Amino acid sequence: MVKLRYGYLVVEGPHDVEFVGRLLRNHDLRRIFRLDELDSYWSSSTLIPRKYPPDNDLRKRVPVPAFFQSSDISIAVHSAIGDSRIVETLEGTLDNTDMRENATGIGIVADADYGEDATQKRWNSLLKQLKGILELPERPGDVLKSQPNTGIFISPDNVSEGTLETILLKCAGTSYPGLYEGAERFITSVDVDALNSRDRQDFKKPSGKGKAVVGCIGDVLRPGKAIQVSIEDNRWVSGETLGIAEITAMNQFLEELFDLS
Amino acid sequence: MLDDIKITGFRGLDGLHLQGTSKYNLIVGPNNSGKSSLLESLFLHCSPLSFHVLPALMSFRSGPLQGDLRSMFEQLGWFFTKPDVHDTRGIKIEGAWKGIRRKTKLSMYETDGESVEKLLSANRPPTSLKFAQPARESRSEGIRIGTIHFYFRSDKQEEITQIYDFVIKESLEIPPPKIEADIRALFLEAHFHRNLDAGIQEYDKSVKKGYEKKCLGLMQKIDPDIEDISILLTAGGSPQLFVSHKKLGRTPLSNFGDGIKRMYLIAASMVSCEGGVFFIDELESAIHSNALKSLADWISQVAEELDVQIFTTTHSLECIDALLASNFSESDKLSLFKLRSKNDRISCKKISGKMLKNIRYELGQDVRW
Repeated sequence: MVKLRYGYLVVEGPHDVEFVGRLLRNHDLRRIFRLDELDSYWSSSTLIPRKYPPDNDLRKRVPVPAFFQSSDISIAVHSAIGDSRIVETLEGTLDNTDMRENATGIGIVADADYGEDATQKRWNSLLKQLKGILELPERPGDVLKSQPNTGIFISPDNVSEGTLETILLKCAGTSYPGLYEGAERFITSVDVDALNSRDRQDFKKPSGKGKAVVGCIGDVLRPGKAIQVSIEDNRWVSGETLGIAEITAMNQFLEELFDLS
Repeated sequence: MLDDIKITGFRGLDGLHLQGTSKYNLIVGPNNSGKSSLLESLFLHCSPLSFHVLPALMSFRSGPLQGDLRSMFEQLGWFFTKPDVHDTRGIKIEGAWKGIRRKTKLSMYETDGESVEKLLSANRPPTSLKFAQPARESRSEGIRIGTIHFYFRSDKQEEITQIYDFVIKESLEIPPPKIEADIRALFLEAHFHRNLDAGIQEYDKSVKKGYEKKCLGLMQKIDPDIEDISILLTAGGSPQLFVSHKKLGRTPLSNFGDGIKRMYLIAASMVSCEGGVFFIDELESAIHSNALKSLADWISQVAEELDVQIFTTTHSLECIDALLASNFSESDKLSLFKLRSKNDRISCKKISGKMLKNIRYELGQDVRW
């Protein structure tokens, strides 16, 4: 059996997992769903959770990474289930495994969110939290070539404010222009003031409208299913959208981080 | 506390550095990664110049030392990591105890085998070791198989050497150590609860310290019908621990399940270690996972009351989780050390209690290898 290379990526949430997975699929990595098909490095490692429920909370999802594998490399993409747990997820896994010595690349994909200098603030915050844990390059989106390679990609493009949804909306504009325009019109027409404060709480956040548009499109494409199913199955990432600048940037980041040909 | 310990030349541990210890220290790793060896080396370090520690540690793994004196000497040699080039073998353990630096060394010197063989042809070597009083200063007469040299020094003690001669004569007596041990330490191996006389001395100490009810309380977590424990003489005149039980009446502790015996032994032994260090090999041995939480809570409470530092090996995730859920999980009272073998060397990685909680509770990951 050929010995594989390994990679580890921490992302904010399940949508990010599927989006990255679609990009990795273009490099011939396929998702592994069965434990007995997973490379023995992962199944004998500690990355597969053995304790339920997380933090004694029955509502919490079990933080199982998604594994993407080719004949050359096996990459674990680990959802932190929230931006506040990105560093704890990375640090805990690095403390508990030998990935610093064995992985080709270790990285993070996080959202810039919104506000003045959002990307720089996010970058600075992550740099500060990761000091002493992981050596990093000088800028977001760059990859430090070392053992392992390291880097942090800040969506949408390492420069502008925004989130993964910013990229998804551009993808929708290219792949599903009709759906996109319809969803935009609907969301714009929503009378937010008719909702009570609790109902409109998330919608009124800076990323709220964008997420609602993505949700509408996803619900048409995969009715009744979670958005991540649509991201995996539909043409958010496709031949037509690979040329979008933000996707090109993330693709390049992943290629350099994991030495993908 | 014992901390910043470097171990060289002890069994498979050569250049191992244990740093950042806590009140409670869990040692994990695959089979044969050196977990028990680490406990043994630390126990040896707590008992400077004490030859008797070596046969005691040997007996935990393979029973009492067997055979004649040459055979015994050879068996004791297995405590030493064998060097690539045959030379004087040495064990070195350096560390700090309550901020005071200390160093323990052992060296072993063998007489040429051929010479011993010739001299032995007309002699019948002794088959047992006795521990003599008082200490002897002069080297013994007879056929010398070899010697084991113990060295010790600390910030408070100038270097002192004690030489144990393995000399074949009618009886061999081992003198006591030249200095009193400055660290109160106890080693509890995984199956000691099966010894008939296990717990008798510990019972005595627990009563004198007023902890007998507390020790009983731990057993009652498993069997609430246990009412009391005491020492009685058997028909043959030997002291034995007896349990007063609501349903069984007065019954020897040896008749109870291993779990009850082990829980009692852990409890009573801990009381003996007040102000010192308690080494427990395989904490979870014989104890059902449901009882581990009670044990962890008890240990954490008494360790604080009696200022006992604990080093434990474990293979059990339930054991780790039970300790995490106890008072040890507060701040820096719990540390986990992972041992693993890489490039023929055993290395040690520390995970703090706080990170351990993150890894177990949030990430749900296994931490045992």
